[in-house]
Amino acid sequence: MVYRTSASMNEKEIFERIQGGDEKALELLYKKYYRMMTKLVITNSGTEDEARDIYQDALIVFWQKARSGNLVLTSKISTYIYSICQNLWRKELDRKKRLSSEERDSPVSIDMDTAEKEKIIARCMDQLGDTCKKVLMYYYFEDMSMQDIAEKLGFANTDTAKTKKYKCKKKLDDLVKSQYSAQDFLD
Amino acid sequence: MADERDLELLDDYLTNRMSEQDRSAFEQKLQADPDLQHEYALQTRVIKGIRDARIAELKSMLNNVPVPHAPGNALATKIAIGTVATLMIAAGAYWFISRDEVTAPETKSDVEQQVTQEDAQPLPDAPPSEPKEEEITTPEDNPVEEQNQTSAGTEQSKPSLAKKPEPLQAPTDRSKEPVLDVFDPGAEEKSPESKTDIQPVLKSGKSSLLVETDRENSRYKFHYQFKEGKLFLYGPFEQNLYEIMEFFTNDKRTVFVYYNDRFYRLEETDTMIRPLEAITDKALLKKLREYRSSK
Repeated sequence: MVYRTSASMNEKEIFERIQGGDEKALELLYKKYYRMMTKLVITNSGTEDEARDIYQDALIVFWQKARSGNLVLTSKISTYIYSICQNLWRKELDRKKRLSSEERDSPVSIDMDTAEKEKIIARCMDQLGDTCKKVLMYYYFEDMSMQDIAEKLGFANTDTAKTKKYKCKKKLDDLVKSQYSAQDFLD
Repeated sequence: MADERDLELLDDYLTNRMSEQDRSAFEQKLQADPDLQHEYALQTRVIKGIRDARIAELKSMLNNVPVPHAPGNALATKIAIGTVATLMIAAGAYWFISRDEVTAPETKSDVEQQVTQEDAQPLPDAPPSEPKEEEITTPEDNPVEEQNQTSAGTEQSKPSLAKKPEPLQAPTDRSKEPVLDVFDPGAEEKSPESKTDIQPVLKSGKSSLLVETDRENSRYKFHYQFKEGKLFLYGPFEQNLYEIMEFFTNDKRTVFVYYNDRFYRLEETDTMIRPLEAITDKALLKKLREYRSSK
């Protein structure tokens, strides 16, 4: 007997679209496996909110690895994402356990300095233009090459992308440094 | 003061765009230069900030995607089951009234069995650390190997994460199970062997059946039709959310649709528009799931 399925092309197609940065494909995947992935967390003492968070985090890990070319996928996409979910949820359960025992022993101390600095950087990111943000995100998160960034954003050539990235990063660095100084002054 | 070239190298270092050799050389430089170390600390934070911003953006995008409710809420599930049962009874009545459209009474199934969440695919093997991103070889022309891997993974899944959740069974009316001709994709013609064995299957890859979907049809909300050599699906069939499964035995083809955790057998003897009715036969469902997971 012969068995054919429409899905074998679909998996490959979806993966190729993800590698190419198609966010719609990511949305499709998200919907497709939502029940399956959230079930893992919910049936292991998680809430729906936690399940959704873990699944989104896992999907973004998958996205980043696929986009940066660090992933040769031969198992099913769902299998791969499922194992990421398992890992993330296990870590979260361990963290909760540690946190609750620490709270019993001593008050929890939050690293105000790190949190404050992170907020500063987030605010500075918001001050950048859209193109700057995209260039930086593609370069530093998706690990895209200058050529790919140039193509994606419609720059004339690789050099243009390189220059744009340099200027945007410099602007961000300057904003952050000035904010840090201001913060130090106020402290 | 770290110079421009150092800052470029630092950027490459922090984004893994450096060769192993250059990395060692740079690390030595870093150790000897306090200004560079200061810049390193700052840049680590800034780059993390850029990555966090992108993650937040992607999460926000996903949050805006409408999704089905996750399973597990007992009350919500009971309400859903009640609603589905009511709708199915209404659908059954509608079908009964409009029998002139459906000419294959043997496929009648009055109440759709609530497919429980436990029917999801088996748990894969949980890797001991982060999932490996290095080369994993086999592409899809080795389905048997992959199937073995999947089933091995099921046996090895960690006990702390439950293999199967509590089943949620809807009250079903079993008095009207489909009677005729349950297709068994695992059985050869007149095979003396047990019908539950999986026969070795020659996997030919992609289904060649042309499919058109109509998501806007006001009359047919979850139906199908074979016409002009194509399969028409009426209902919420977004691309990549459904799967066509074709089985060929001798010169006969049997077609199933997989959608939203359920399987539907399709009659292609005529061009009638028929409602999609979920398969309830457990043995058949098991077989179909096994084939799906073996690709």
